[in-house]
Amino acid sequence: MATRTYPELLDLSLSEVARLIKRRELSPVEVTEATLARIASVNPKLSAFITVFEEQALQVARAAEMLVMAGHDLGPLHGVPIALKDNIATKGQRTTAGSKILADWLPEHDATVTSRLRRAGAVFVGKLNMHEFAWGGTSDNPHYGAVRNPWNTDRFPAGSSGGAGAAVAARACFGAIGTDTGGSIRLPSAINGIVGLRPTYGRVSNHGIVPLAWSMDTAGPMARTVEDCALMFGSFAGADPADPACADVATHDYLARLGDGVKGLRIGIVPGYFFHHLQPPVHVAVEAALKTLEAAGAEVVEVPIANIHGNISAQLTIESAEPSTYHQRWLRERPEDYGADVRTLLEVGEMLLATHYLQAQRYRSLLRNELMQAFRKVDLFLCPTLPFTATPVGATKVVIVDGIEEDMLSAIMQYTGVPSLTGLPALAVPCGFDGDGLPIGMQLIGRPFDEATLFRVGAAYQALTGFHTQAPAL
Amino acid sequence: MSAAGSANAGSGSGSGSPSVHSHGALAPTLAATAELPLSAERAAISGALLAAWLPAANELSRKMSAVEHTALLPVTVFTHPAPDIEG
Repeated sequence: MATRTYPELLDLSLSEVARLIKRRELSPVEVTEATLARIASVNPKLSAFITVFEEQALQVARAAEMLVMAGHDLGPLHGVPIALKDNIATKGQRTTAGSKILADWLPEHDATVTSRLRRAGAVFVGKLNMHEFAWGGTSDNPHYGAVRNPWNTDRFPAGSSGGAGAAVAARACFGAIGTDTGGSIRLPSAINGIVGLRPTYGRVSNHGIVPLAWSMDTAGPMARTVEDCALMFGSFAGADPADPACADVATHDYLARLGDGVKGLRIGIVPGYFFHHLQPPVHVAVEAALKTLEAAGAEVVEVPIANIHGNISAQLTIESAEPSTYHQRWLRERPEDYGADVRTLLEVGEMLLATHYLQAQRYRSLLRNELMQAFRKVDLFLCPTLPFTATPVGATKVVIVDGIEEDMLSAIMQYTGVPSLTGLPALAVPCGFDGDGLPIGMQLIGRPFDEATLFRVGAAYQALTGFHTQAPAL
Repeated sequence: MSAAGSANAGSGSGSGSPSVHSHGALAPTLAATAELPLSAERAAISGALLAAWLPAANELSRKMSAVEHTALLPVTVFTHPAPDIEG
């Protein structure tokens, strides 16, 4: 086995680590030890992990090493250290969902995503901090500490998969699995300068994942490169009889078209919405990304979406009513065990009317129909992931334009709400930095079950740019 | 996360119901309807957020009540890819 220094080793991408292990040029034990050492070094500053599996990860890594040296290949993630958001069940290991209520929950079964990753050979190094019960976008967790952004630890990592975003960017794991209801994979991916996929609703099983809003919940990969996300995604996407909402639609080889480029692809933008109401550095960076893809051969097409306004209200209504249904018993029996913000949101969710909820669900059909019509003219859409860069930890307001303070929860979902409501897949890809060195991300939105095109475009962009190769000085 | 917020109201005029301005009474009433115990302090906090959200929620309801949307179902699950949109 080759010997590498820890910094060099940790800068490898997940895909590079997987290839080196398969070629027996890198030891799963060495890479796991390096990862655990990195976690020990950075976690006191970031609070990215709730639980770290020191002993178990090394045991699995030793087994992975024995197997690879004996010629066995467990799968695409053989011996690769990754981490899971702590609302994804791990059999016999604490799964808190970032809450006090589930602080001591030891699941009897793995989530489907967990078991599929195990079968693919992954080494789990720990469970990641998050916004309590995934109901919020800051990861300012009152029970396990506020997660901090590795690019500036005074800033937030977004959420709700904030621990995943921070850990991947800080080289404390090579990839992570997050969950996304209203933006919880894409927002921390953009804010921490990494890649994250919200799959088509129903593409990935939610079995064994603590729900937020059943009709919008998804699980997806987060990593530093598009290739890494595609590699992880292929190992757990696909039908699952244990999840009644999981679609029986064939998956693809998500690595096959990564090198196909963007020539001839039609990229849609929605005038009056996608480049509207943005912090100037975000506008400049996302527009530059669009020009980069255009220069590489893509065609940019303006496509109006008549009823795109109103999506944030629909998002808030659904994302309130469904969690309040799931939490109804606990909210009555253990209200003091919730953080203040989540308790308030759960209370409000009980006060919305059934007609509000159902009209919001019908609005989703309206918006989806308009997007599907638009896909006759374009192959994908491009917009910012969110309209601002990382705010200070603890902030509940954000200034986007003209010095006007806005509520964080509504503002943060300006662009991520569209795929969440329509069920369409969306990929966050880093595309720049603001003047303070804070990451900016763009969002690619695709046709249903066409994650492969999103990976193709994201990979083409990363082949032309170097934003994803930058590392925070932590 | 802030307990006070607003939601974009959509493309219409944004005229909200007068009742949302009296959220101090609205929240306890709705909580009682759901048999959710709520102190006066909690009702004030939750009522403020509810008041911020209700105008946009009501405007969305008005939009979706329009005759041109009568046939829309509250079903949003994709069960298959969409080959009909190719090209």
